[in-house]
Amino acid sequence: MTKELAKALSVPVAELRRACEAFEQPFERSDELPPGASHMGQQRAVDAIRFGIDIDRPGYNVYVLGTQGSHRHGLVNELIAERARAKGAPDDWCYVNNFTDPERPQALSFTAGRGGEFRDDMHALIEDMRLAIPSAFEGDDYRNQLRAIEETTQKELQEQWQSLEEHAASEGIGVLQTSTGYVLAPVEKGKVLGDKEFDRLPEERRKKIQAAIKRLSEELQARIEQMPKLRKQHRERVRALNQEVTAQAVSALISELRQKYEDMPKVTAYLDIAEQNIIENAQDFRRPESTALPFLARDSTESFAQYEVNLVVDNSASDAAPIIYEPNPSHPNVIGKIEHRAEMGALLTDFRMVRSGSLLQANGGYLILDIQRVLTRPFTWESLKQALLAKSARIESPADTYGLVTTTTLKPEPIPLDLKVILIGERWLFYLLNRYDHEFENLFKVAADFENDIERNDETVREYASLVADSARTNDLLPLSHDAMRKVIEQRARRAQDGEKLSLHMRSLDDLLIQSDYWARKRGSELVEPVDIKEAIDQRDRRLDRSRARILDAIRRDILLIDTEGTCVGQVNGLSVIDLGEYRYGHPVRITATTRMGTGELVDIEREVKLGGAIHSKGMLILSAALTSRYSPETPLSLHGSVVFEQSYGGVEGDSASVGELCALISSLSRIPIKQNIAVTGSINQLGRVQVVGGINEKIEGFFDVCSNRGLDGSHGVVIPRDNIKHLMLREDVTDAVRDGRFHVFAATTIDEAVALLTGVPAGERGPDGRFAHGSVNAKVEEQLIRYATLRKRFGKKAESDEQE
Amino acid sequence: MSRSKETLHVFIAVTETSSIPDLWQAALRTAGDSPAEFVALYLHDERWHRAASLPFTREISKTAGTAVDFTLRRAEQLLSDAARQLKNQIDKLASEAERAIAFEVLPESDQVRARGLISAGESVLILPSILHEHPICGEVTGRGVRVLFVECGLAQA
Repeated sequence: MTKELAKALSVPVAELRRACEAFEQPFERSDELPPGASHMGQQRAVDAIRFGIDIDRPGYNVYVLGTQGSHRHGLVNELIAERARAKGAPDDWCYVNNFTDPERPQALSFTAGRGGEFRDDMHALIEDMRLAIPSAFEGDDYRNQLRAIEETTQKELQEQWQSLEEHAASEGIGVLQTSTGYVLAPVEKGKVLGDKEFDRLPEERRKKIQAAIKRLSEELQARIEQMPKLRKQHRERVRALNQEVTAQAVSALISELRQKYEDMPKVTAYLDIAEQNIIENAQDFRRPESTALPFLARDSTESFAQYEVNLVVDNSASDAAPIIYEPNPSHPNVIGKIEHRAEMGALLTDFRMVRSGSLLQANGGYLILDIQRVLTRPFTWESLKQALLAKSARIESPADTYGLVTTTTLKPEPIPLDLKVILIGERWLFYLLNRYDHEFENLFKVAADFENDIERNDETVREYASLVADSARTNDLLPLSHDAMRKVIEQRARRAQDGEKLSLHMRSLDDLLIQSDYWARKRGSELVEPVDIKEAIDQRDRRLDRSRARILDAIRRDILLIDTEGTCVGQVNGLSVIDLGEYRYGHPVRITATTRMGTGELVDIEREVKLGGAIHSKGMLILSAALTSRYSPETPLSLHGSVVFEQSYGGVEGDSASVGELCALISSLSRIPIKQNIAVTGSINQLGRVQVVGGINEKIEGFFDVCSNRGLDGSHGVVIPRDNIKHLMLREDVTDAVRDGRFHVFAATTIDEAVALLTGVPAGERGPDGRFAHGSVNAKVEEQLIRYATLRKRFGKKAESDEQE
Repeated sequence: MSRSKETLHVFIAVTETSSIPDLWQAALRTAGDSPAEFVALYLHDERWHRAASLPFTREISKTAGTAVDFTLRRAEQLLSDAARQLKNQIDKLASEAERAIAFEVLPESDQVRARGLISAGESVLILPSILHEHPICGEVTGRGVRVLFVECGLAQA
């Protein structure tokens, strides 16, 4: 490697970590800063949410896309709260008995607060009726009237019977009563005639008696058939009396209520029906008579209970539209449920056991749900969509919805819905739902996409500082010093994986501040200083870096083979990143390549054994194309090459090793060794350009740590894609080492630059004759490929002549 | 049935149509505090048997109005049911009064047995007044048996 090239490709120290400069308007403590906007950098999402909650059209519900911890909930709540206050409290909702079809309880709406009032009024009415109705039935008036009815009926019956008996007697026939009926038999002098006495009668008399018995039997049968009518007549008279007595007792009570709710026609109609029902079922309200089987006796409490009111939505305590966040969006919690009680082995239910879910609790306001939780709770998503499509909440159990139970249950009257549902979730779920759930796009027409980061410039840094100060205030933390604030800004750029951006991941910011506060208080400081920020970061890394430490230990003990000195043909130090969610780290990985004459095959061993992901495989195919187009444009590629990540036993994904893999292949073909003190990362395109990769900081630091453990001698370094420079936010120990010349970071734009840096030999360019410069790496690669092609041709001819012989 | 001179023998003649409680109350009043033996005599008049012996008699159901042949077997069943019901009723009343009572079925045609049951001495025969012409009255008259007629209501159906 020429020194000039190394110098030209070296990344200046200043670009390795974009430090936060002193603020234009300096401050000593963060609590001097003015409050910041809580929705900093999220204007697009804020506008979308405002639009979604303002527009009053069906289907304009909101899906908030963004990563967890990006303050989605907080911001949504804040924006909705503004609007909810302006809307005012929505109606209360009650379920009452449907007297004509008790399986379909009736829904009644009231202005906020009046639902509870109505419930209490009905309860008081029941208490009054409980006393008034039995008392009315125990009064002398009622008893006298009842006795009069009974006497009338008895008299009618006796008259009928007497007339029959008299008629029969006039014809010499007696009417004998048995336990179950009547027998007509001839009588003489008050005594029933037996067969002997009857036979002694003259024939004419016998015939007359038989005819009379036949005729009287028919008459008796006709009268018996009339008996049910008489009994029914009697019951009706008693019933009419009961109704009259009940009506007198309850009408005054109910008319008072009717007057109170006269502005609500549905309620007064219910009261009319309830009154009618009470009057029609007057007997149910009388004190029960004692029975031999008391447990079978009808409970009068139940008779009164059917006039109770089940208040399912109570907005009496609110003056704003409800904002409901349902942390556990199970089907019953969201849609509602119908409870049952066990009674003598049977499960019973009625309108009083209908329970509303958060959908109804949020009616007239806003319901916030985590979509991932909704989708992982059985039946919730389908029922939620159905409710939104139907614009009404129908409370039923999933078992009923899907016809899984055959017992009768309730079907409460659906309650009209007028609410906004705000789903909060990850982006991938939004895209999946959009793609595969056709109802989704009709129901959630507003997407509020949260940014992951924000542009880093003087203005945003200033605003961000205010945001940090707010967070410290909100969390009741110590204020930050001016320098600590600069460190926080730098850490936020590091978190964004970009020196030119600041992360908007608010949870990690809160965590950093809380932990820094902890270390500052531990020091006894009243101010968070840079040392506390550093301690918080270091301690967090230390808590999470067990697997990283094990890898470094394995490298130190030569279990995981990584050379950091000398050279080797066909072997290069690549760089890999392990992502553990909140913690990522990098480490070097040995990539080796072998080549021989073949038929143009490049074998990616990772892919062959199915350890390579799709992107890794794509990278290998691009690499193969780059190799062919570069060195073998006019001759068949007569190469068999294989590439592998040595000692890698897990999956390999991404194309960030493709530059390293190509360098290893080039080294193997050219037989020019690669320096082991330099690691390389970058993806390559078909034209040989080196492209950006992710996790660049962790990758550099991973190799730095290995080299640093073994002792930095000034020869160690890393080759990265030039386009990745803007993403650099390296640790300060790395930048210090670079500043001191103990470590190097090179930025390459092309594969040739990477090859020259790794081999120390110029890569070589094609001259006017179309050939690479003699002695260059590329010339040697091309020569080797031509040699393979010639050999292959020779072998081909030999095989042909062998066949002919 | 053991008898002693000191014991009063109270015979209560009952029919299906007479009010048992009225008769029983009369019997208790008659016995007072003195030791007494109670015997219920179910007097049945055999009218069902006579009616059943005729080939054309029918029993017409109270509830449905349907008619079926009225047979001797049915008459026997009615008699047996009536006897059981009366016995249950009078046993219950006696039990409430903490008294013991025997129960005998006495057909109209079996007056000889009546004579055997109702002996002379300290005996009282209590009957519903409606039975003042019943043959049993003739059987006991002149034998030192006190006969007491009771104005009682009709049996509750």
